[in-house]
Amino acid sequence: MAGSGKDFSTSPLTEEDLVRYSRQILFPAFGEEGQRKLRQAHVLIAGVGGLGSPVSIYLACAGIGKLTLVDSDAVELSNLNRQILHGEEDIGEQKVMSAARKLKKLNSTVEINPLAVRITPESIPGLLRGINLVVDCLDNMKTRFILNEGCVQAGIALIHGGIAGMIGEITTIIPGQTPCFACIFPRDVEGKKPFPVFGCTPALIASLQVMEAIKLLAGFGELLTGKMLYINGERMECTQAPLQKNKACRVCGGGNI
Amino acid sequence: MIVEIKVFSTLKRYVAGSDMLVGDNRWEIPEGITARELGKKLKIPDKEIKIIIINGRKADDAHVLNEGDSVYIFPPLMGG
Repeated sequence: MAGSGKDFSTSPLTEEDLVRYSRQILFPAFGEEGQRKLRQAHVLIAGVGGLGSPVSIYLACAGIGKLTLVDSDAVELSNLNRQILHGEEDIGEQKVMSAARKLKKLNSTVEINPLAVRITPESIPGLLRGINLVVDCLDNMKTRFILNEGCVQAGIALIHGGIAGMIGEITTIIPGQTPCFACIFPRDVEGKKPFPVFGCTPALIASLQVMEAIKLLAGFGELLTGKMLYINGERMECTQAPLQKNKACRVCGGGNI
Repeated sequence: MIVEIKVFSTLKRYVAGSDMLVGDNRWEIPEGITARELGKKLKIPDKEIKIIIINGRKADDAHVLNEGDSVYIFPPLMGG
């Protein structure tokens, strides 16, 4: 896998692992080998809010080896309708610390690396060192472009999710193979803040991001590469838009990297 | 000329009932129209941020459409 020099096949599963993850190990295309691959993976979750809460919960419960959580914000009361890792007692605390505490309770065998830092052009190369996969759970376009550029340069797969109201979008970006974020999105736009959202919308898109992460890390199934899945919960419509590389893309150049 | 256009989510309300729609996602549009002009024709306000994908590729404002093109128009979703 891109960005990884680890040998996924050598990590033995404990007796406890075999019980804990038995229901997913039963999945034929996954099995014990898939579980070992998750155990060896180091996933970076960019943003621990509406998307990042369920993404980190399901990745921790699935037995990812190490999760790095990156978010510089503190918990606010207005977060609590959707950011399900945080509660009333956490208001004012750094989100990554609040999240790390809950995730450790859910699965103490997962290594959690909470980083209350901003994602900037300066910080991104260091943040991505040793990372196998990045999940985009951010809430603004500017940081998404920085994250995308870092992932393209480091050759690390990126699962993009975005939401508004009852609508969500998701695509999986594999540098060198698929269009990157900058191939698709306009650079000069930023949405209104605060944006409207129900908690169920990020929950839905986050679940799909985790499905993509598990398939990508374990190496089975079909990925949402070269297409954007668009879900409109208000109308219960689901559509896919085909995407191709932009040959003039200033980030990935549109070709093989 | 006839092109296939799919408009997603919040932008859909602008194009509902358009007389340019001649079939299932099939639209009759003027020859030589650009992506920017298409947005205007579809009555999607300029202030609405939209991504126009033509035959899989992001189209800039000056992109000229051709007969049979496949067009997807959707707003970027920035929340997370």
